[in-house]
Amino acid sequence: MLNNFLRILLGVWLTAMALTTNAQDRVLTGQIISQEDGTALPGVNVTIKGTTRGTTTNSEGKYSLNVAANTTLVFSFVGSVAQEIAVGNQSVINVRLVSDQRQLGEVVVTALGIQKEAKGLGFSQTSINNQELTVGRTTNIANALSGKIAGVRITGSNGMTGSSSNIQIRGLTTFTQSNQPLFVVDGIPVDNGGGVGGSGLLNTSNSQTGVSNSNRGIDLNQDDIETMTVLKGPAAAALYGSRAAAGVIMITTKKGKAAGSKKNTVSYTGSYNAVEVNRFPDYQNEYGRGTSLNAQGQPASPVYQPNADQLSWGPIIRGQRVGSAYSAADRTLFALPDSTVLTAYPNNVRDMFRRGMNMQHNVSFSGATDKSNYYFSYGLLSDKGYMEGNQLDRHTFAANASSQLTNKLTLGTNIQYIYNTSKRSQIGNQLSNPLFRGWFLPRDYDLKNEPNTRPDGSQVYFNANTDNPFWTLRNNLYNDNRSRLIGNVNLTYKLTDWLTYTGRAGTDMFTENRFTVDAIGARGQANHAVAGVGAIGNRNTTRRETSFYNTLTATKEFGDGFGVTVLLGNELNQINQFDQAVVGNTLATRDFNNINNATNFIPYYEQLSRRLAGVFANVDLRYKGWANLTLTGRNDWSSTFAKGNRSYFYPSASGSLILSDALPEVFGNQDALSFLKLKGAWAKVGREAFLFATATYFDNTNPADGFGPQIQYPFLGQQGRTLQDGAGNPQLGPEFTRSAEFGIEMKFWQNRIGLDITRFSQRSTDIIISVPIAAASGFTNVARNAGILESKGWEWNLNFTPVRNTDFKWDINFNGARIRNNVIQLAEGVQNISLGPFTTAQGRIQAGLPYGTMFANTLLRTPQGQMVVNPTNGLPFLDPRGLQQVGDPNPRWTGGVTNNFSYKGLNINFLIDIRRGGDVLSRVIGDLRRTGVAAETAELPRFDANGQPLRNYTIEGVYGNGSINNTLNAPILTNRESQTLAAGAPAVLNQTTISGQQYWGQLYGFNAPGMFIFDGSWTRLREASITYTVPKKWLSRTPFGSLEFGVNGRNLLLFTKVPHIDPEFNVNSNQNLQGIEFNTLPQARSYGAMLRMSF
Amino acid sequence: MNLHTLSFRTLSVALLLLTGTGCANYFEVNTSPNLAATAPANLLLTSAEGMLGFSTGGEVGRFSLLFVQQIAAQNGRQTEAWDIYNVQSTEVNNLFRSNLYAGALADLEEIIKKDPQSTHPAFFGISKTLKAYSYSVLADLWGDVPFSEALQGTKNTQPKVDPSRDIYNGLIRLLDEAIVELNKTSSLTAPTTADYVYGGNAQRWIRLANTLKLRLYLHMLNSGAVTADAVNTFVRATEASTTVGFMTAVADDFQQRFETTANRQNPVHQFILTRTDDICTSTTMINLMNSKADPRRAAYFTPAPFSPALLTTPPTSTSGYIGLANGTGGNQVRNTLSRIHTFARGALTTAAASLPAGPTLGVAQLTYDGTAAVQMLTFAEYNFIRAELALRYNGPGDTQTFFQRGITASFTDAGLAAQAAAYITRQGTLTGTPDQQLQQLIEEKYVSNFMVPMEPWNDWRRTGYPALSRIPAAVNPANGGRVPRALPYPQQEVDANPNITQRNNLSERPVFWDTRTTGPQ
Repeated sequence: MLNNFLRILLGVWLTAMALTTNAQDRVLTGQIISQEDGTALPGVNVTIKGTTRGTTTNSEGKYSLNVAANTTLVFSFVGSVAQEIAVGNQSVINVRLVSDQRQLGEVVVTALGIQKEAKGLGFSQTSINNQELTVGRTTNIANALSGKIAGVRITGSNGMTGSSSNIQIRGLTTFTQSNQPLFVVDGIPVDNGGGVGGSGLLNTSNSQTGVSNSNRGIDLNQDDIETMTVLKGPAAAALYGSRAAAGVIMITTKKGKAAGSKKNTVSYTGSYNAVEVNRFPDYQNEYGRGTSLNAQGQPASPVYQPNADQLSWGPIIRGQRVGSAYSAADRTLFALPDSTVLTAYPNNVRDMFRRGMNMQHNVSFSGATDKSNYYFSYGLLSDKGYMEGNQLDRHTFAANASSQLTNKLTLGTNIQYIYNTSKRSQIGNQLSNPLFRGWFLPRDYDLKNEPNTRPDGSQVYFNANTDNPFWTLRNNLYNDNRSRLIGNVNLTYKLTDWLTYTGRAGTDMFTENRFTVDAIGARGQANHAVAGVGAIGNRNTTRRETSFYNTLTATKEFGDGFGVTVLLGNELNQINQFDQAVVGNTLATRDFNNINNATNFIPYYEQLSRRLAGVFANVDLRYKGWANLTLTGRNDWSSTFAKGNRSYFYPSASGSLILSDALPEVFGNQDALSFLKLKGAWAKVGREAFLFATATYFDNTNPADGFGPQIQYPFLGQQGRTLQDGAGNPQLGPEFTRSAEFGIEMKFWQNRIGLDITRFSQRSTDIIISVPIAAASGFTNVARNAGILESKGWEWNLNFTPVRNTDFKWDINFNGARIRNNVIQLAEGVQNISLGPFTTAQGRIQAGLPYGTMFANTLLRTPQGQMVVNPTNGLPFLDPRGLQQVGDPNPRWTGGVTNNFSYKGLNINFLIDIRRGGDVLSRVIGDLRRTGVAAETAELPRFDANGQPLRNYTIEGVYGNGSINNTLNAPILTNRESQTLAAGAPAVLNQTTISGQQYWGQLYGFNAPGMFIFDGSWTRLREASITYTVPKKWLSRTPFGSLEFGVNGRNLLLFTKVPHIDPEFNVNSNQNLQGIEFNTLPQARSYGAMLRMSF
Repeated sequence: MNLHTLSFRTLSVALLLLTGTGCANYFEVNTSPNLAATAPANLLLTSAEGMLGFSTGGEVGRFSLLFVQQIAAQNGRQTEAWDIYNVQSTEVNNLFRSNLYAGALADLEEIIKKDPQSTHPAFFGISKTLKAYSYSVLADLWGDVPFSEALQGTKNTQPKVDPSRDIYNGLIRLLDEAIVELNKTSSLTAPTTADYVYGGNAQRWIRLANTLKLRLYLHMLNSGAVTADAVNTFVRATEASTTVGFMTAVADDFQQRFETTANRQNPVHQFILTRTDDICTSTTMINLMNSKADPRRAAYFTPAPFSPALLTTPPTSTSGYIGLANGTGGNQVRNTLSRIHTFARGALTTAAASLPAGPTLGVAQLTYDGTAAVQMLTFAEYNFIRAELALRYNGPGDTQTFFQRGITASFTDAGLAAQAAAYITRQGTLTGTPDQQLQQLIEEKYVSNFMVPMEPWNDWRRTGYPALSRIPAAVNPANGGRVPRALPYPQQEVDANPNITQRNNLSERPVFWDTRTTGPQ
């Protein structure tokens, strides 16, 4: 297809080249103004097409030019869409230029603030400007990147307010350390950690306790961001050093600008969105609580079980009277009848949710003179989640200013202060998660109206083993707040006209307080796993990251188009963190949520520091703007290594060749291919080790069995100290990621079509992992440099402007990436490393397989994939060979299609986010089916007219006896009489019928999670907005400088073959595990209105 | 590149100085301020004892007691899979690796490696006794495991496995060494409160070491790895010793106590708190005790069908308690069954009056203080060992006397000493053929060893008693319903140590003394 396309292209181009023009000069005049705000545009290039002749507009945006009648003029201006207008016989041509945000980056800022011409870049980076970023008015800026940049994959954990998002740039580059990119705000690295789920204790992240936490990027206010630039991978990010192997997200905040004649501007941006659940499961509403199997597991008449396990395989709901689920005491207490009318409550799960709202207000004051500029803002975000008790409130203050004090000296500062508070509710594989069994509530249980709390505060629920969803939401609390300062001061001094010094000192520091309450009587683990006696935790964390940069930049343009820029610099970066926590358990009373109310106390304290120093050099060589070569080198010293191993060096090289500029005689006189560039880059980046991995220590004793039971010391009045399970390794050295990329950029027909294709490959070696060793040595693992991981792929970005005229413009952008992550090698003697979250259903790192391949217990199948069925009872077997490879969570490709229509002031924008392939393993779907609440479990009738169970299901499969022929590594097959089949005999198809409960209960039993695999492909309307910008002329008599309003939405539509759930989830927050889901919350859908104005 | 690196280094030093930071110690921040670099013997000992009590009472107990049908499982989760003998090799990683080898054993080895000039010999004696106990659990569960090359840290990350017979011989030597150490005197500080088990009482440790040796000999007798004469000589010599012999009272019980506070409670109790319905009682155990109207049922199990009044006045007939046949959990929860009670969970903290009268709600609302001790080797068991030695191997002493003493000790452990005599009158006389007497003896030992990790299963593997029910063939056809004789090796250990070869199934007999070919398998 591409081939044909190119062929047509070539044809058109050749035709265009054949055109000639005829000259007959006369004077043409006109004025160029901006489409957006009507201001005059000085400095616009007006050229006669096909020649180098032209002029530029004056300070009033006016021009005059001698032209011939049949010529076409090209009006081009940095940051605007070029326009071509045929002169015809006009003598005045006034033009409104539409700004083109994508073209803004004529000069782009790359790593360490180095400015380069965008078209000369040899590596990959992409910028998103404020307008594109804020379309969906999301809370978490990471989510705003979703679908917008090729090769950048964003996965939101869930739809809970303040939940984290996982960012993967070009796949993964390391095994178990963070694969999240480095965040840099105004040149200073900042923290984007903290998204790990888990309890209120120190460093405990697990799937069994706690809440969904935020990644710290959520602190940043989208309305203060001018651009977000993604430096993809090592080549673009090499100068940022050891933490940039996974790429860098470089954020530039807004600076003051003069708006036309106005020196000062006051702006307001506000939005109000409703927040609701994106997708609910489809439920049956015909059958009530209970079972229709007898003790021997055989179909039997249905039994209504008001307070036994949560199965919905009971009798047909037809308004009959059934016994109450409540004890006599509770019936008296709540005035409940002894029996109730069996009724279906179709919305009982939905009743757990509410309509939330997201409100954002932002006021900024900004301005500039020719010597200085300032920008102050205050932002308020209030996000009320779709579950009771979920709330996030954020206040952001920003102050940016810079001033040119003398001709040589410029000083600047960028400061942001953030204060936010969150209230979260329990998630995870635990009974305090309101949805742990809440997703499969019996259809006849009226959650909203049945009692949940006794007057003494204790909970009441039909299921005595699970926390009542409302009770846990109201009583098991997790509140946190954060006070954060991000700021830097910077100084630029021009030593000579070719040599500049820049110094920058910055910090990112925050204090976080967490307050957690596990209520007395909680049946789940909640935050602290104290088994019902109640606990309160107070945790205070202080993190401080300080960075210093010094750079010297020398630029020299030689004659004949040759230019050199050399940058030398250093970085000092240090991180200090203090964590103090106290957990008090065994609460005296339930009405006093203060740690003084506890009887036993467990203190925690942890402190860490990490220091890194780097020196670097960057050499840019340019020739006439069309040949560019950049060489960098960096040497780091990291405190995470032992003395002799601290220093390591890594280089990079990138270059580009703009053929369309280099060969004007070939490209100059044609329309079709207006730009052609080849680019390539190679880089190597080191990565540090995790902290304290070079020595072995003694740990505080804390035996545990993985199910929750544990012994915390001091125990029986004594402290305990145990030799760490992990041995330190003083020989540890850095791991390295090498990347190579090659790309081609093309633009056609005055940039109406732009195509950018990049092939990249990354290979990480000496990966630092905790390698499992024989525990009989006394250690279970040791930190080593071992393992190789590869990530390869294609990225594409296609821009297309089908319509472009003065009033109407339609832009389409289609970006996407196809990425393959393969584990090439693990440490010797290590078969695999589990990424969790469970023993069965786990993501694995295993040599020869894609990263995170899912393994689980599953039902026995023949090598041809047929299920093996027991002829005596028609039921399947668990595969006795243990965990089997069941799925690959990595998508085949992901991408986004943005459509933007603008008609005068009206702008319509929508983004379609696409994911193709990538398996999901959903325990929710398994639960919905196993327990008989899913709609499909009632598609066939369950009972005959006499109320007896029907055997109307047959498992598709062949007969066998459940054991394995070890020689063939295949199941032993039998005939219907259970006699083993002779070798080569055809398999006998299963014809033994079973009941619906047997069918769904067996195929989706929780001992075989490998059966819960679905193709996670989706297409979704990720973001949409319709905005109207009131024309300038209408505002001239009002105090408004500009006025824009509109409606917007996020996650508006979802198309997927996965039943019941939204396949976008990430239960381990921003950890590396992908694709496995349990009891998770759906993504949120939001829609509302926004208003933007300035005075 | 070298020149490159060199110039970078020079430049770096210059630039570091420029920013006003000294270089010398700048990077020396990678020593953890959060963890200790050393550990004295007393902290290692509390650590090892706590871990041993927790993991043997917890995971070791769950596997071995399901196999020997003291408990059963329902509710379709992991426990029920184990009850139909589906134990995945990945499910024993934590027990084998973190809790036993890299847990208790690594800490005990740290003590044993300490300088005798500065560490009281009792630490060595206690550590060697506990090490012997730990390895006996490892060898009985997995058979051949690393022993002679084990616990050498990163010096040997792939230790070879030793035949279980060699390990047993090594454990006898280890216990002899322990007794020597425990008999030493020293002016150094002896362990006191750091020893949860006996508070530093060296004499009780010697009694345990001798009694443990006797338990190991009993296993070895089964395969002829030791002669009856040799064992009887050892017994006579130990009894004649003027210093310390075998256990003498229930106060000598080798057990780990627990606290009432959350996360410091008995591991069985904690497991039931997080997995409320998963563990229930087995018909094998319940029916055996029902048939004898055993008063200990009131301490072991909740009455069924349940009513609050039955807590204060337990059923005394041959009914009133209901178990579940192993392997028939069927993914369901039944609230009609007897559950594990005070003996394994601690004192009741629910007032009976506060419970609803309903037959199913009340039992789920019972609460316990979680202090029940995990018993690893009791005085009762010592007496049953002696009774068996006298009955089968011509050992010293009177079978009948030891048998009745064992029952009495067990009743004392259950807090029912007053009812022992009446029970002994009914059930305390061994009758019938020698084999019938052995059955009666082992069945009493089985009841008295309720919730003792390993040993009831070991007894079944040795003697075939008590008669276990077969799990339905349909739920685990591959196994044919045979009771497991081993656990799979942990998958991570197999992966990390090429010296270990995974076994084909749980019916393989890994431990050398498991030679019984007659009777139920």
